[in-house]
Amino acid sequence: MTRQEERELAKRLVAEIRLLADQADHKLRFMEVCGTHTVAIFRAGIRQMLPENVELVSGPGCPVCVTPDDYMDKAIAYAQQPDVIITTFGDMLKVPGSKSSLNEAKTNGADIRIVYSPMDSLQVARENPDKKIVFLAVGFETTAPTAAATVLAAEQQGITNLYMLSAQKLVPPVMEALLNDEEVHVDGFILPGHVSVVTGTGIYEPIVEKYHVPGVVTGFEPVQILRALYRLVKQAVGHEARVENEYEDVVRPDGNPVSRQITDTVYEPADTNWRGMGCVPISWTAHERSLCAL
Amino acid sequence: MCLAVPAKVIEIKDAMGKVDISGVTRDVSLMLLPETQVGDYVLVHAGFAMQKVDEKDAEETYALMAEMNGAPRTVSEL
Repeated sequence: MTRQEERELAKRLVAEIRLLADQADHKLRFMEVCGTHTVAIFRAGIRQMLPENVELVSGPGCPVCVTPDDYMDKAIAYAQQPDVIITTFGDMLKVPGSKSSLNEAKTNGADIRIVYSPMDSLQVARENPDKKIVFLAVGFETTAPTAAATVLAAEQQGITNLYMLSAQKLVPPVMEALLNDEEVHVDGFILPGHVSVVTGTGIYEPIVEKYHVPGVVTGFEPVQILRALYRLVKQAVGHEARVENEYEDVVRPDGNPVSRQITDTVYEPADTNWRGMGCVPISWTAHERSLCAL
Repeated sequence: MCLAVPAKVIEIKDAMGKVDISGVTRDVSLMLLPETQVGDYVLVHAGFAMQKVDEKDAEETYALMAEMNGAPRTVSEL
């Protein structure tokens, strides 16, 4: 698609969204679950292009933002141990704990190394056999298999000084928690792109059916997001609720089964705390169960 | 953390692959996509190949990335 064709398509989609939204009997509110969609929507100026009766709200899908204080406090406490090296994605450094941040700990001499992949922790572990390497395993269904595969690789390579401080989260349970919240009204979801690469589209079917709320998986280009919105408005005004896929290039109905299998080898589902959401039933933590009721 | 980009697999050794992302070479794990072959385009996330991508789609993404040149794009300038 040329840039000219893309521009034409975007204009046409916005016009179609306007026409369809005129048929709505109430203000339509859609939630983009994924934080990367939020950024893409903001950059493309999509909110400003939508008719007045179509509203977009941001969902809980930023793993950095939903990582709670107590997790950060634990990570900082580990970082301050002289025999510990923390490996982490760079975006965790500024996340506040209850008193400080990893950035502050690093300034005060803690050995905190930014990695591009969890696998980079293996090299750090090999080079520092007298240290404990703690990888901060945060993220959603896309990132969980990368941490799980790293655990398996460490096992295969006989590395025994690598640890995971895990705060992996699952997307469907938090969607369900939002739908059960009386203060939240959502007419449809823009479903995450890269989470769905792993999970496939089938994982959303039970929620869409149970709550009769449509969902569309899409990519991160402006036209892809507008296409998803068009489909959501169409379903909402037609009182339909289906899962549709606007990111078929990489999102298959069955996702990536090997990734899920590897994740299931290492992790088991459990309730967990989310910053801003409180306890959400059935998200993952590694080899431990913490129940909301406790 | 959540960004994923398409890359061309140029070499495979055990469960590791060398990929080319717009001229930059990088090592990625193929543990999550074991059926990967040399010449495939794959979506890379956090150092792992996550899914096969159609060659045409990958090239469109590269063209777009080159065009954007790192600048954020608004719909009005599409």
